[in-house]
Amino acid sequence: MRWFDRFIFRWRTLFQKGKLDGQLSEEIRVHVEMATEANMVKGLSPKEARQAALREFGGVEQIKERTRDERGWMWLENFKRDWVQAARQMKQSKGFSTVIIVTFALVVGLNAILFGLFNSLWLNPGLYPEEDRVVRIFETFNDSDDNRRGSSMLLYADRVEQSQLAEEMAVSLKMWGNVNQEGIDPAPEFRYRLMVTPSLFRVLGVAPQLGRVFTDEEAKQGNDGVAVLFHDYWQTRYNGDSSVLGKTLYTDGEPRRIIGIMPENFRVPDNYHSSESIDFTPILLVPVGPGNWPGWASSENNRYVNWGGCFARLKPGASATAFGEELEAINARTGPLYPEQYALAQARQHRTEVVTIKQDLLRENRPFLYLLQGSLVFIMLIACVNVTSLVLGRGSVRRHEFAVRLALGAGRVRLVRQLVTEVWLLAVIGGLAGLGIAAAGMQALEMTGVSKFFLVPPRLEVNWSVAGFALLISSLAGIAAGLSAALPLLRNRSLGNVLSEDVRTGTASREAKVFRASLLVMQVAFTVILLVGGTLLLRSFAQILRIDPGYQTEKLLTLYLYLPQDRGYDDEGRKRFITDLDVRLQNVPGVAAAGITTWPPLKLGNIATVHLIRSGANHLDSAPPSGTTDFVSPHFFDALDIPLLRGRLFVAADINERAAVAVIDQRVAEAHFPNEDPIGQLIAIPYRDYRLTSETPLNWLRIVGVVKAVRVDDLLSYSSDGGMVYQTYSYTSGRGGTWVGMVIRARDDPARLLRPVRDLIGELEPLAAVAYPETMNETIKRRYSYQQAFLVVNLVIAVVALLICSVGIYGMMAHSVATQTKEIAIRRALGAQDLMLFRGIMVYWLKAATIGLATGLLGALLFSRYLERALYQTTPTDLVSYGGSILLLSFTVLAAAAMSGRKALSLDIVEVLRR
Amino acid sequence: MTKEKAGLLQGTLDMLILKALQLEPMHGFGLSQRLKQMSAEVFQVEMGSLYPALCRLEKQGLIRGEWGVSESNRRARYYKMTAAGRQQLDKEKTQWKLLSNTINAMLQAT
Repeated sequence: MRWFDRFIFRWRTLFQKGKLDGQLSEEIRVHVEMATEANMVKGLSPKEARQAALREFGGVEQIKERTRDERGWMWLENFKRDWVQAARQMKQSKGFSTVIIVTFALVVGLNAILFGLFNSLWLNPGLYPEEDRVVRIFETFNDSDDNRRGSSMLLYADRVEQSQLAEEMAVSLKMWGNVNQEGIDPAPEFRYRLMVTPSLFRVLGVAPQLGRVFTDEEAKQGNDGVAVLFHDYWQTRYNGDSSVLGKTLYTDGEPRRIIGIMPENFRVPDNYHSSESIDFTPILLVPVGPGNWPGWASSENNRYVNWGGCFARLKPGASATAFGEELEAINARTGPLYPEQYALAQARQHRTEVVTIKQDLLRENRPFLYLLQGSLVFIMLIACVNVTSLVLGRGSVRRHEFAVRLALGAGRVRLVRQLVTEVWLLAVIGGLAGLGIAAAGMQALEMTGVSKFFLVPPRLEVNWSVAGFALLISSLAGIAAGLSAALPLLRNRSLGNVLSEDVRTGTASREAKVFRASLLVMQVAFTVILLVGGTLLLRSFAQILRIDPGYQTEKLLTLYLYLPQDRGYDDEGRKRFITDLDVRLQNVPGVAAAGITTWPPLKLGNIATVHLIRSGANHLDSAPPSGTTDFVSPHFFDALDIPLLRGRLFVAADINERAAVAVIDQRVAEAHFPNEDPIGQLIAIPYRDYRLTSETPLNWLRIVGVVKAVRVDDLLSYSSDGGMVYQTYSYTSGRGGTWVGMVIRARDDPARLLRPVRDLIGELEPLAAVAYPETMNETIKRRYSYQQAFLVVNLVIAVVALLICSVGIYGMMAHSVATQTKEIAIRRALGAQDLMLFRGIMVYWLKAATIGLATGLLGALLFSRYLERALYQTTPTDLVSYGGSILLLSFTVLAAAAMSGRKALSLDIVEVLRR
Repeated sequence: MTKEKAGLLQGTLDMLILKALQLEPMHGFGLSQRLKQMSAEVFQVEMGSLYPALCRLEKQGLIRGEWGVSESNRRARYYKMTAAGRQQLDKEKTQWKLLSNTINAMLQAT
């Protein structure tokens, strides 16, 4: 029953506080009376007896306070009192409270946005049921930067047969092609589709929203005329009409019956194309399976080629690591059965890697998010220091209040607690306001299209976990700031000191000054770090904008055309079609020049590298392929405005006669013909193969011209180290469908050309699909929006930091000067020159700021290394960024110091001294 | 939270209060006199420690305070030991004995 007694006791202390306090007073009063009587018995006079009794008793109020502390849920009771007190304080000093609330709101808002991102992507993606058991399988080789590739169907088949740890495995292959809905729109669309094994749905554990998914039977040849739609496509193409089930669509001319619709957030984890590429989002799924692989996927030569994403659902209890080891063992067992392929794979250090789907989600964006998190930690620190200094400033105004309360028996701890509660309350209110900022910020972020950068578009919303997080960090920050502001109170100084200090000296104590100066140092240091980061990114982005790609980007329209395989063009037919197209494109009204190319600039991701071999060189040299090649029309160079440096460009006759000629760019000329005239020399581009042998056939091309090198697949760098060799399009040879890329320079608005060009293509070939039409400016925007978003986010952080920092610095200086008004007034009364005093104030703060700047510089040097990967042609030690940040911040400090100094000097001496 | 400044070993005041209350219920003043007397005027119990200690003990359910009438016909708050208090005292006595024996032995060891 003891716990019950205790509970009752505490309960009473909480709700019968008045009564209990009365009891205690009464008890003490009786005690004193009894002691008085006892003293009187000893022979003292009544007055002396009472005084002696009181003396013996000590501070009655302090004893009461300490006794109360012993009583049960005192903290709760105090808490209530602190709250009331805090609310009263807030009402009294609105300006002060507003500044603190806004500070917390900004900082917590920024942090909440990032947390929302993390939460939806990493902590709680909830894509698939029991997603810890869902893993992705990668093949890695030592010869590539992007070291994680998909697996071949052959490896997949071996694993399905031999793995013990996987409950089930699945594979998905991305295919492009035409999609044609007869009856809705006869013009085909060029879209991506996923060929998947029926097991994929079981591995991911996702059921369709409507209809059904594939059966294992449907993976077999002849049964595969079915399709399952992704939700987005169903919505946009069919307006979410459920009667679409049973209808037929055509992929590259093959009829497929629609049997199911996947739910809205269903995604198949794929290779990441992020912003670098055009829209690779697949729109539908079609079945595929053993015995029904596409021809290229089942060829034994392609055993170690990256064909598709491979997934598995592990048996309960099996770990990704163990599964990875099992797969390695399978590789070692089955590999040697195909010695030639195996030797090649070994030479490239083939490994199989297994990661859980969760680990995979943030893969590409992790550095970005970590950097953001880093910046936000700094801004949080600045905010805390800032609030500390503001509270401290007010603390000195309230010093008398505290001293009096100490004298009246309040424990130091009680005062600290009250101060902390006050700041905490402001912080929490700020945190709630921060949620509003977070909601607005998330919407703004959504509009920048950041979600495209992620495999799973983050669900950016203020939900319970985000709200909980915001409250948690604002609470923690509030408590931290409150505690550090209460530090001076905690130091063991006698009451007398507190009360008499500024009466005696008329100025702040040395310790207080040092404490404040160190706050300024921290604030300045943290802000320097963030500012340097922001300016580095700004400088880097400016560099990107300044890049000369080597061609005109204005008034340029680029697009692809896709000819399905089933149109049955042979090489000659294709050449005729392209020539026709090329000729008629020039005559479309509004076209200045139009060219054919395989690689319209910046449109795709990386361009495949090829071997470039000049006559006379040892082509068995085992260097990896480093050049690139493009198949173009004569007008291509006109359309892009690529200057000819030597020789000539292609002419119509080169196409018609399939002349073996090539135009090289200046980089090829420098690399392969360093000290000679390349014109007239021979160069060969063997069919892309990993290893060249003496049997590899070489078709020699005669070099007729040299042009300026251009940046085709990335503004930031050239496609390859080896340069580009242009051939005429008459050399394209077809496997599968045909891509034809076009670059069209308009006389005015390039976007207006799309309609007539589309019509022209429809006229030439009704089954040809137009893919990815974009003006060059749109392409650039799409490609570099990631850098831009990264920059904007970091700049916002830096600006907020500067803002908070300057408010904090000014607040602290104003307060510091306020504590010195008496000193200043006395010195002025004694004849000190205003200018001297002003200089004194400025010099003092500048000293502190200089230390802060120096510390911040060191910090920035330390941390900017982590930015290096995000920087383009800007070193992490870029002088301009550092100098600029320092100038900006010095100016802020100077302005704040000057303002507070002026304020101090503008006060009336007599008025100040009389106080 | 506030530190005891009594010249007593930390924690011993609670034990001594329980000991003093073992015979009869007592009020605060009586208790302070009794403690002084028990220690032959060696210990000066500070009031700043006594009342918080009483409150602590009451919270722990070891003693219970009740209003009664004193010998001088005053309403005073009397503290009575509870059964739990008695047990606690026994326990603390044993522990104390063990502790003091050990420390004595250690001090006498050469």
